[in-house]
Amino acid sequence: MTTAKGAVLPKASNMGWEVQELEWDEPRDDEVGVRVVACGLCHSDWHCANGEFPIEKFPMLSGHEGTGIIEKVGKDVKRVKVGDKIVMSWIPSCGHCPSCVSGHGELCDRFATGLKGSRDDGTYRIRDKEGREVGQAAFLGALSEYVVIHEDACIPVDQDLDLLKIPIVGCRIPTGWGAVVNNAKATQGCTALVVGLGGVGFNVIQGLKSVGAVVIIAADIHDKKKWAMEWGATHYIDASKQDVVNEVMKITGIGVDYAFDAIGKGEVQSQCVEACHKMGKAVWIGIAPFSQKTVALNAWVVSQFQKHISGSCYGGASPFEMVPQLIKMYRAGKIKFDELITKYYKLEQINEACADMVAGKIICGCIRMDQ
Amino acid sequence: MKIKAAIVRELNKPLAIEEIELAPPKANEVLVKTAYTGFCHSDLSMIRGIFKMPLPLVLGHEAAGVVEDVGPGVASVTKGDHVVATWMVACGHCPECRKGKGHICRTSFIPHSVGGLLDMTSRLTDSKGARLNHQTNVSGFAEYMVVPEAATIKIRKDLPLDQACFIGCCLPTGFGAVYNAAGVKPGDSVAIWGMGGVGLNAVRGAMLRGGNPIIGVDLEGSKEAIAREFGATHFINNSKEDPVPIIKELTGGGADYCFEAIGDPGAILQAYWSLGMGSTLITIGIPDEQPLTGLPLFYNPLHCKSVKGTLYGDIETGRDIPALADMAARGDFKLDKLITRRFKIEEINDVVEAMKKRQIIGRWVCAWI
Repeated sequence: MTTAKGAVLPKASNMGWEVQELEWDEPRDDEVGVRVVACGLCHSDWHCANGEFPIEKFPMLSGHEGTGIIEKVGKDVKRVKVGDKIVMSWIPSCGHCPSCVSGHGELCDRFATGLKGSRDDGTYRIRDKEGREVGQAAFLGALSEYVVIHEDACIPVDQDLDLLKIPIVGCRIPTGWGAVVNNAKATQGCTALVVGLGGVGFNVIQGLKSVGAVVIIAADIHDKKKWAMEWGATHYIDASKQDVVNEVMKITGIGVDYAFDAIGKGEVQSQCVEACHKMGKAVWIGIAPFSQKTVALNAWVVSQFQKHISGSCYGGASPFEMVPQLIKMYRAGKIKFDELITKYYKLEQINEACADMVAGKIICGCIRMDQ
Repeated sequence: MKIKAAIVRELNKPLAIEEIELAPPKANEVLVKTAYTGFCHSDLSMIRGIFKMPLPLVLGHEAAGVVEDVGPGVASVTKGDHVVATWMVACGHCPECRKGKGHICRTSFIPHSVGGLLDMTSRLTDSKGARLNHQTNVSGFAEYMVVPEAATIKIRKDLPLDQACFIGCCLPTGFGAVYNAAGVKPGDSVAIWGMGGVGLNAVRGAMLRGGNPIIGVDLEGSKEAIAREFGATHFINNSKEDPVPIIKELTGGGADYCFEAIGDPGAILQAYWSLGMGSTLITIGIPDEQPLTGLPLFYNPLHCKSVKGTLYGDIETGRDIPALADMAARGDFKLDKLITRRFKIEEINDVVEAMKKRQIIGRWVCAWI
């Protein structure tokens, strides 16, 4: 048994997180104990807190974007050893289900218990002070000093990397970058729109730079123009004042080749379809509220202009494929990680970090466990 | 347990039929009573040493049977299940597997190369107690097989096992070359060299996919009838006629896809010359290791031609074998017509000789029941 502090959501509400002492089971044969170094706080965490994400089990320990050092290993663990540095994958891709064998470990059938945050067999690894079972967000619960996770959730990384700087590669970097490279399959010289400049949106911009886009239009309701232009946007739309589709048409004349929704709102999803040129592709990355069942679309233009709509989850490829690839690019200076984190917080400041994120004051906030 | 098996002890010598010892299945392994085993051209290549395997080797990699017993931890099959034994066990986690290319899983090739099961050890010993090697997890020319659970794919019971064995190799290899590696579309022109078990399944795949024309090519005119039965619209005996001008004429300038299902340098050259502009040669047959330098690659960039290899039809065994069994049970592949002889293991050296002389029409299977 290991005791550690973690950021727990007692229920879906606007009350946010409580930092509590939790008791962890020892790792099973195929599990590892990890000393967490850092964990990003992402809009999805906020959606879990406010009830838009259909979490099936409370209390739940949050955090799905973590780095750490392996502290304990079960006897059957083969892919990591004690002392290894890891990035955590929020889907422990099994390698054998129909999605995994098709090269889509990001859609692994293991996610069946993801909303409960239990093991595959439905059991839990954590108890709170009252003895209640606690779920682990996305099998991780990385907003915690320590976690026990499945071996299959571990992505080993180079030992010389600073784990404080790279946690965002556990979710928002592959999610944004991969949406461009894998889902849109955007190509050299293309034009694109990205709506929503959070951690995912900035990584859509990084992806568009990787593929050689010539027009990158960024839109947000918060004032993020300065950041957007620094990160490589060629145009900026203040979505709080301007009509996004009209502005895109003014800039491009005909619409963009690719439009990325990095928000998850029906209105933005619809705008992305409208903003595309003929044969254009709208890529929906943002996670809409579970209760949103419809999107208003101009269906006539979808058929007559042969528009495409693609969903995108975790960047459209196995995180075990993409994360090592992105780290190589980071080391080669081809993609930025460090600058994404504009503010570090202590675990106890979790609610402050969330408020800053919701107010658009930061790109990515990161909780560091060493303070 | 004591079982009868066919063993390659020395290259280019008759196979030894011996009574050998099969150890019980370890954890996550399955004991299968062999029902039928197909004889494949790769078996001949292993006897010849063109396809190098560790000797002594219990031959055979295209087998179906019935589960007799399971080792600890086995969950996906139980006694009495009908199964296809597959020679590819994708680990699920190596770089190839992560990209959805489990058919070239790098981890799986290691036990293949040492003739062991997944833990590198063998369950097979001869009467003197010496180790015998497994052929790619299967070693199907044996009364019983011990196979890793992940290589034991459960299939429906209403598909006759003499047809089911083909799903272990020649069916997915030929069909998958057309569907997965090439991605033939309705109306594409297709030419296929080698009307053996793999080539006929490629013909059948092209027919099911709506290819037109579908041109079968073989050195033996005796294979024309079965090629047409499986869906060839044309047949060329390339020991009598040069297929290149005929194919160019039939396809209006060259085929969209050519498939080479032999591993013969001459056939590969003919197939390359028969390509149209922007077309692709898919090589399925495994030639020897000598590099083939005769390809007129001048035309590769100029005419945008491609040469692409495929292994096991680019399938994923766990996902695709049960689906192929469903299609086979519906009669899609005419597998009943592919079986042209059932032989006893004692006759296997006659089968080897017949294959050397290109006398096998369809596929001959060893019957154990």
